[in-house]
Amino acid sequence: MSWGVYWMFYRCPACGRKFKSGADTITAPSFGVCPACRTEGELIGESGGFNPPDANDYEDTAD
Amino acid sequence: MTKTIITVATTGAWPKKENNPNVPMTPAEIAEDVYACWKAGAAVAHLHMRDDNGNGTMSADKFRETVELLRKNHPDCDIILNLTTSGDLNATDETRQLHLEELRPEMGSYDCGSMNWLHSSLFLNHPKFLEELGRHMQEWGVKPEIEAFDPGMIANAAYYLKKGVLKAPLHFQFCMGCANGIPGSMKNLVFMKETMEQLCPGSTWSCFGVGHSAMEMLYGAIAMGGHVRVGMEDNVMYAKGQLVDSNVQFVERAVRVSREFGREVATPDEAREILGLKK
Repeated sequence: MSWGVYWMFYRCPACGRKFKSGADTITAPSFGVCPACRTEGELIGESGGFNPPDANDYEDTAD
Repeated sequence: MTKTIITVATTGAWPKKENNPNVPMTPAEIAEDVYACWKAGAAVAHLHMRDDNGNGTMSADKFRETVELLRKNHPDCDIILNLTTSGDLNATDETRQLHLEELRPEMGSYDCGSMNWLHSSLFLNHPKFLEELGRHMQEWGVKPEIEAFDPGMIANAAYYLKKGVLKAPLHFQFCMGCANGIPGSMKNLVFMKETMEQLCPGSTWSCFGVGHSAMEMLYGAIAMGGHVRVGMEDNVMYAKGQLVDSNVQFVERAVRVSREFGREVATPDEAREILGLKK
């Protein structure tokens, strides 16, 4: 049994952009960082039953 | 070069239509999907079932219905069936095995240890359960596919091998990149393979990578002489920003990559030979 990507959902406190980072890329410098303005994101929710209601609107930031 | 065994994991326990509308969920959808994937080159189908609300279930009725539909509608399909024993975190030790006893598939999954699940729950495989399952699988003629989410699970398999709970040659499925498991990188895949060769020599192996590591693990396994698993259980995206159209699309890519590398794809009968299965 596997369970897909473990997502962490962020909102950029500077520009408001919604984005998500997969835990499988946790060592990437881009993890949790806004792809637009490079600001550290604010954690909104995560997989495991804590997805935000608009989860589909979050952009995958992995390269 | 050894031919590549392609396993398709059609459904899994987590993705729903809202994640990808193409995930097969009902017995009829799963049976048709397995047939299409077999025609595309899959030799093994790893199956999970869903209840009527789309949640993972270990219902023997659902497994039976799916297998019967496949056999009735597609008698030409000789794909190896590998039924999960871990399709619902709330299932009992008994319901995790009932379908194996009744349906006697050629293979079944054997999750060789416990771990945290999605940072919110537990994926429990108690030693008592693993001992019972291993002995039952031998008795019922079901070959375990040892799912290893980290190297410790390979060591656990070696222990059960010595104890007689498992019987050589083992077949491993390295589950790479799952939350709480070993991350999916080439360095880690090499380590898993070398650990297996040291602790359980003579074993065969396959792997998959969840999410962003999927392609790296696919290419890595083929280059290193392993076998591969693809399918919507592990990934609902074909590429970044692109939902997969069907499991067939994944199988076709695995066939293409393997052939371009110079490894032909194993038919189910050739896979039986490689895995030591008796038809």
